[in-house]
Order: sequence, then C-alpha cells, then structure tokens
Amino acid sequence: MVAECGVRATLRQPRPPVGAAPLPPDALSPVAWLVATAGASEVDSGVAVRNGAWLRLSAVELERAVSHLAWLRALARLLGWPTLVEEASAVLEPLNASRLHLPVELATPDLPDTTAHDMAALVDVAAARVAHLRELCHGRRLARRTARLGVVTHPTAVALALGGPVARASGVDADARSHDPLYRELGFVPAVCEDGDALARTLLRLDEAEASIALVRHALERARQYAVPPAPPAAPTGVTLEGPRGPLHAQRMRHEWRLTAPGQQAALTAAADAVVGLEWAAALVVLSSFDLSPWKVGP
Amino acid sequence: MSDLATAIVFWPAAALMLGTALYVFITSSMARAGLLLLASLGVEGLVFLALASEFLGFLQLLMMSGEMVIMVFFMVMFMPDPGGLMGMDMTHDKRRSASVAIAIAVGLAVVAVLTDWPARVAGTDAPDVRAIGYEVMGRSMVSFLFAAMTILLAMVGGVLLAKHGGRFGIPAPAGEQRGQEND
Amino acid sequence: MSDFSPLAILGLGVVGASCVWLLEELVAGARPAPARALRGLGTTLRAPLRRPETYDNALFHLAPGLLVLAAMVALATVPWAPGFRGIDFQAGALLFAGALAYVTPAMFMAGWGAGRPLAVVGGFRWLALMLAYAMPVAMVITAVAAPAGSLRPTDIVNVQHAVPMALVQPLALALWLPAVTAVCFLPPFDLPQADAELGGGVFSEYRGLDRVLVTLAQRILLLAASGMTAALFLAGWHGPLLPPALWMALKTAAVAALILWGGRRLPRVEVDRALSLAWKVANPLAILAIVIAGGLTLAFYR
Repeated sequence: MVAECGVRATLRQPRPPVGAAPLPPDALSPVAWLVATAGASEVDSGVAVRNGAWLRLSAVELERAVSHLAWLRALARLLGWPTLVEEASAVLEPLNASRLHLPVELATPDLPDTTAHDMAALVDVAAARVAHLRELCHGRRLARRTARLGVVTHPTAVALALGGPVARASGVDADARSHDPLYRELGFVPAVCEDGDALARTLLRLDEAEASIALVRHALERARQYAVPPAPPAAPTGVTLEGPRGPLHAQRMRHEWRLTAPGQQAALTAAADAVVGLEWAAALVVLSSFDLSPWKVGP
Repeated sequence: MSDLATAIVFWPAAALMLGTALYVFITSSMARAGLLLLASLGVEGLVFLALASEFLGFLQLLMMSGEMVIMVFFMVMFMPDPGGLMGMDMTHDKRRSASVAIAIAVGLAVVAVLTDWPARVAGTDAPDVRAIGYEVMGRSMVSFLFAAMTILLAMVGGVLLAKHGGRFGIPAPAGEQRGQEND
Repeated sequence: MSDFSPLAILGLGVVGASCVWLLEELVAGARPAPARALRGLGTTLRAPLRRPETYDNALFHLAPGLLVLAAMVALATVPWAPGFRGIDFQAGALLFAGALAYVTPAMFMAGWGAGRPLAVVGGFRWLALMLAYAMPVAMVITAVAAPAGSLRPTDIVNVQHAVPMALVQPLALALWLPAVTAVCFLPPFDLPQADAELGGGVFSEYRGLDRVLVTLAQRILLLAASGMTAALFLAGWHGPLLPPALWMALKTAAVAALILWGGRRLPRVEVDRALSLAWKVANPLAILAIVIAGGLTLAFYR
C-alpha cells in the first residue's frame, strides 16, 4: 500500500562557487531546502547575508502554509467533501499568488517595497479566509471521519524519533523553529497536541498553516521597515530548518553537501503500523494524515 | 385478459423460467448463478403482472432483487470457488439425488395438473391490495407470524455465521501485511 | 394501465437528465457550459466500447442497461401532472421501490463484472448500503400511503390537496430523504463509486456508451427520486395560480437542488457509520413513523 520511492540523494560535487545551492532532493518542499542550503553555505563560507533573513523566513513559512493547505485539500477530496475543497482552494489561491512575487534567488538581500506591499495584501486576503476554513474543520463533520483513527502514542513517537507535525500531534514538543532567534523575535510558539489521532494531525496542520500566515505578515512588515534581524547562532554542524514534514538538516562539508531529513523514514514505519486492521476508507484517511513524502532523503 | 392472451404470456414465460433455472446449475460462477435465479423469479413476477395481480407482481420483483443478491453474497463468502474459474464439479451422489429430484418433480407436476384449481379470474380493477391486506391481517395472520419468526431466526443465524470465525468465534489471523515487509 | 406513453417517459428521461446536469452545475457554483459538455459527451460516445480485461463480460455489459431500465421504470411511476400520470398502477408507489431495488443487482453486476478488487469492494459496499436503506424507503411509502388509503401515487397526491404530507409527517420526510439519497447512490452516500477512495469504484472500468448510460442512469435516478418526493410529500401538482405541471417541476427542482446541495456540504458517510445509522436509527424510527401514520389516518383521514 505504501509506495516508497528510494532516491539516494547524496550529492557529491566538486567545490561549487560560493553561494550556489545544490538541487533539492525532496521535490515536495524545495524552498525549505533551498533556504537550508543557502544558510549552510553561508555558515561554511563565513559570509552572512543578514538583510534577506526576513525574506527567507517568509518564503519558508509560505511554503509550509501552502503545503499544509494543499494537503488539506487532498484530504477533502479523499473524504468526498466538495465544500472543504472549495474553502481550502480559496485560501490557497492568494498564498500561491503571493509566492510568485518572491525572487528566485533567495540569497538576495533586498526586496523592493512594492513587492512586499503586494505580497502583504494577498496574504491578508488569505488570513481573512482562513478563519472560515478553521470553523469548517473544527466542526463535527471532520471529527466523525478522523477522530480516534490511526493513533500514534507519545512513547511510540519518542521511540521512533518522529519529527514534524506527526510528532507534535502526539505530544512531542520538537520544533526546530523554537531555537531560532528570528522566530523567537516574531513571537513563535510551536503547536502541540496530545491525542495523536488523525484528527489531531489535521487540526495541528491547520493551526500551523494559520500561524505561518501570521508569521509571514509580521516578517513582511519587518522587511518593509528594513528592521535588522537578530544574528543567527553559530552552528558548525550545519543548518536545521523546520520543513512542512519535519526537520531538514543541511551541512556543507568541504567537497560535498550532506542533506538529511531525519524522521521521514520513521514516519513511514509509523504509518504502516497505524493502518493495520482498519477499514479501507479509514485506512486511506489515516495514511493521508501522515502526509508522507515519497522521497527518501539522505545517505 | 382472454385465455389466448394469458396463454401467450404464460407458456413462453414458463419456458424462460425453466431455462434460466436450469442454467443456474450449469454455470459454475456463483454470481451468474444467483443472477440467473433472479431472472427466473423476475419472470415469475412479470407473469403475476400479466395475470393482473399487480401487488403480488411488484412485491415479487421487489423482494427477489434484494434476496438474490444476498444469496450471491453468501455464496461468494462460503463457496471455495465462487468465480467458477476452476471448473469444479459441485454435484455429489449423482444417481440418488437425480432420482429424488425426478420423483419430486413428477409428484409436483401430478399435483399441479390434477388439482381442481378455482377458476375465478380477477379483473383489472379488482381491489387486490385491499383483499390481500384483509387476508394477511385476518385468516393468514398466524402463518405470516410464524414465517416472520423463521426469517428472523435465519437472519440472526446468517449474521452469526458471517462474523469472524463463524460460530466458534475463532479470531481472525493476526499480523496482516505491513508496509515494512515490502522493503 | 392508464393511457401512458413509453416514448414520452423516454423523452422526459433524456430532457430531465440535461436539466439535472444544469442543476448540478448551478449548485456547484460553476457557470454551465453546455457546448463543452456536449463535446465531452461526443468524445465519450465515440470512444470504442473496447473490452477491457473484465472478469465477466456478460454481467459487465448488462449492468448499465439494467441500471437505465430501473431508472426509467422508477421515473415512469412518478405522477407529474393530472394529464400525465405515468404508469398509474394501483400499487404504483410499491413499483417505485421495486424499480429502485433493481439498482442493487445492477451495481453488483457492474462491480463483479469489472473484476478489479476495488470495483468488487464497491459492489459489496453497495449491497450492504442498499439493503440497509431500502427498508426505510418501503416503510416510509407505507406510512405515506396509509392516510391516502391506496398505493396509487395519484391518490397520495390528491389526499394532500389541503395540507402537504411534509407538514403532517415530518419524521417520515426526515427518514425518506437520506434513504432515497442512499438508494440512488448520491453524495454523501456515494460509496460504491467513490472517486478518491475506490478509484471510481464500481464504474471505473466503463468506457464509451456504457459510461454514458451509467451517467444517464444516475441523473434519471435523481430526477425520479426528487419527483417522487415532491409527489409524496410536497403535494405534487397542487398549488395556487400556476399550472400543475409547473408546480411539479418547481418542487422537483427544489428537492433535487436540496439533495445536491446537501451532497456538497457533507463528507462521504463511512460504510460502518451509514450501516449503523440505518439499522439502529432509521429502521426503528421508520416503524414508529408507520405507527404515527396509522394514528393520523384514524384521527383525521377517515
């Protein structure tokens, strides 16, 4: 049932020019990888591009919001619920439109004032619509199809070293963003839930999407005001970012990149265990709630 | 309907019923067997309609559709070769069962031909729904009640047989396939 | 039989199916594009009726025909206007339930004939669902026929000339709507042909004319179900000012729109929950509805 595409993504390259990022191995969250590798190459080369920090944060958070909302839309299609599909699409549209304004080279320091303004306007539209989506998801209709299904208990989550929303929905308070001073300045608090069932994972992702939209608004405001971001901590072991599915680690060693997504293989194991014995439709819903990435990353 | 019209409807329908009923036992696919039986009894329902007994005809059509499909369901559940792919011969004790079947058929035919059936034919405006209602609630109430209890017992028994492990309660095999094993 | 013309019913079926398509587009909030829909229909029809690797060809290809036949017979039992009453049999309401019952073997044949595991699963799911919800349909018909004293649909419509049955027996209506939605496999009860869960389920293998027939049958079933609801519960063609046929058309359209709207707003009901709702809630309440109908009949209608 679980199709696993194993793509070995150890990239061995001759020494690349400073600042050039390798191709991201996980097709599902390219921006997060790009930012991680940009950060890692900065760490390695010792050059810090500080002005683009707000911009990179917005890019990562926008990708997270889009990833979670697109996942929610796919879940709504699986559930056969056209209204939720429409609502999720309504929030996704302005977010996707605002992503188009981001420059391709995320290492550049500046973004012109009008771009930030346009992006902010679109993100505001999305923020207004998210409230309605939230109401829809917190009702009984979603709970009936997802509550108490596919429970991943706290001890299991700890034992398997899960990461990302799956772990946080089981009560494991692990979020790479908590250690990042940029996020702390914007007032970030990780969302954690205790239940560990499919409903908890769904609502947690919705909460994270909402929080991401708020973070993007604040970051864009600071970018427009040319506020100086706090200095990142010195990290000899590379950069760890929180991607939509879990932590992503990028480290630039002398001649090679080491890119890992710890916890994704564990998520596959947890998903396989969670669907045993369920009815077909319920099993598909639980499998979908793990938001698995089909790319296996790392050496 | 006139005698001729009735005959024109009745005899071909009877032949069709017999033909489909025979095919029920010739075919080895369980689904086809059940659906051919449905066809046979459906034709019987149409015969009722032709004989101006609308209520019975519709009732027959209504009940048979659901019943036959349930029968197919149970056959698929319990028979070793429901798809008929292996061409198993599922008849046993051929000579004795054939002779018993022929004897019963002859007996029923004799009863059908030699009985003095009442010759009253209902017209198209006969209030047969009302008549059936009075009959069920009056003279035949006891037999219908007993039939209902029997059917209820059969339903409960069928459900018991259908659950995991049947009537002995043997649990389902543990450790179904896990995604891990494909690694 | 009354003076009823099968050709008229056929024409009504085809025209009605197009109207149902229009209603579906409107309820979904999309702008109806008839030219594009017709082109799509043409493409589907021209697709060769190629025989995929089905398991049981005879059953597979018979199923759409049986579905359309069942849907047409159900459509024919609905009384549309005093001058166009359809097959107005003495036990016509029962024929409606009987025709809907033939959807069961048709769906089963489609699933079994296709031979794909998910199609067979869809067929068996449908069987469980249909048995559970066919009983409330028949019992509510009994409850509605009791005040009229007859199973003839015209009589049931005429007994509502003062008050529609929806106001007199709201419990019956509340049971009838989900039951008839389930029996016509419409969302949120579209379990056998679930697109995402079962990959198209029972209908996934159909091509060409078969697929067109299946879509036609679904739409005609919705039309027949809405028409019968309007006839049994909303006083059919009775109403001031407008001509009877127009009233009937409006009421049918309203019921169909309600069913389609409800289908969009509710996620698909899971098999276990649908079955437990049917057996533990709907069937006992339907028996209660019959008792209430009996009481009402004795009190008011005789």
